[in-house]
This record gives sequence, structure tokens and C-alpha cells, in this order.
Amino acid sequence: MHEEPTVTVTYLSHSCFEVKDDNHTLLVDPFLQKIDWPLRMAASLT
Amino acid sequence: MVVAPPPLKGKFSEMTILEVGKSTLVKGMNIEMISASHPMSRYPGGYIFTMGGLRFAHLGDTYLRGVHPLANIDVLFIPIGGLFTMNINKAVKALDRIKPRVAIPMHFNTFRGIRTDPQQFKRKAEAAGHLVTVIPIGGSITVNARGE
Repeated sequence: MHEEPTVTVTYLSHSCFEVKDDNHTLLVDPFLQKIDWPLRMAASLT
Repeated sequence: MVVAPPPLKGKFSEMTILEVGKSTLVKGMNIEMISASHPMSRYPGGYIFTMGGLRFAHLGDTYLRGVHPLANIDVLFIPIGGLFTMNINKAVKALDRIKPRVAIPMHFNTFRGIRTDPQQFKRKAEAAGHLVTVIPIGGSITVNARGE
């Protein structure tokens, strides 16, 4: 039986989410403003 | 691997620079940068990416004027706090433009200037025909391409 891939979405804080499936973990808007605020948008992918 | 806009060039040892309107393939995942309207940012933007057969959009910090129709968005992360971003009423109008399968509110109640009620957003959005899921900080949901 074919099983649909499942994606888990976790709200970490403010505008930052972890989006994860079996192959990837993506952090969207991971607080990079602490490095060079107010440049905020970035995605960290592992 | 960090994907970031041009002003962050050189900030990380392993990074891909992405401009608004462009897309890149990173570790097998397509990531596109979209425009936003945010007066305090030198390079406002959001992202669209696909994972598990689902198309996600994160609008970043944006006013409604920075929100444009996006095709086939399954999951939309949308700011509702109202300070330098959309408030609840503007966010509902943004949902009218994008028509995601489900919207998840963000950018609220993490500092005094953006106090708002996500359940009020949910009620107003759902009255306008949009599905909203409110996730508490630290909470998770699972989604799949069948909409479960």
C-alpha cells in the first residue's frame, strides 16, 4: 500500500517554523536578525 | 546550508544567495524567494518551497501591498501582528488573494506591539471561507498531500 509522505510543522517562535519530512529539515526565518538585524528572511536547510 | 538574500552574503560558510523572483535547488529541494513589503527591512521577502508533495509559502514580514496571488499553495505562514505587518483584517484579505489550502498565523504576541488574538483571525478567516490552523509556540501539526 502506498503511504503519503507526512510533513511535520513546528512553530518555534515569532515567524520561525521547522518544517520536516523524512529527507529534510528546514528552518524558515531562523532568527538571523541577531546577526544582521533587520535582515530577517533566510532558510536553513539540513 | 543557509539560503539567504544578497545582503547576507558572506555571513555563513555554507550558504546560497537567493534574490527575490529567483529560485534555487538545495539538497533536492526547490526554494523560491518572493517579494514582501516591510519598511524596516533592507531586503524584504518570503519563500516558497515544496516538501512531501506540499507547496509551502512563508510570507515573511509584509504589509498587504506586498502580498500577491500565489498559485497552488497548500500551507501558508502569514503574519497577523499588525506592527510593520498585516493585522488580522488585512491578513484575511491576503488569504483572499492567495487562497491557500490552510493558513498558519505567525508574528503575533511575541512582543507588546504585536499583541493580537489568533483565534479571532481564525474566526474571521473561516467566515470568509479559509481554513486556519493556530499552532501554539512549541506545538506541531502533521500534514500530507491528501490534506490530512
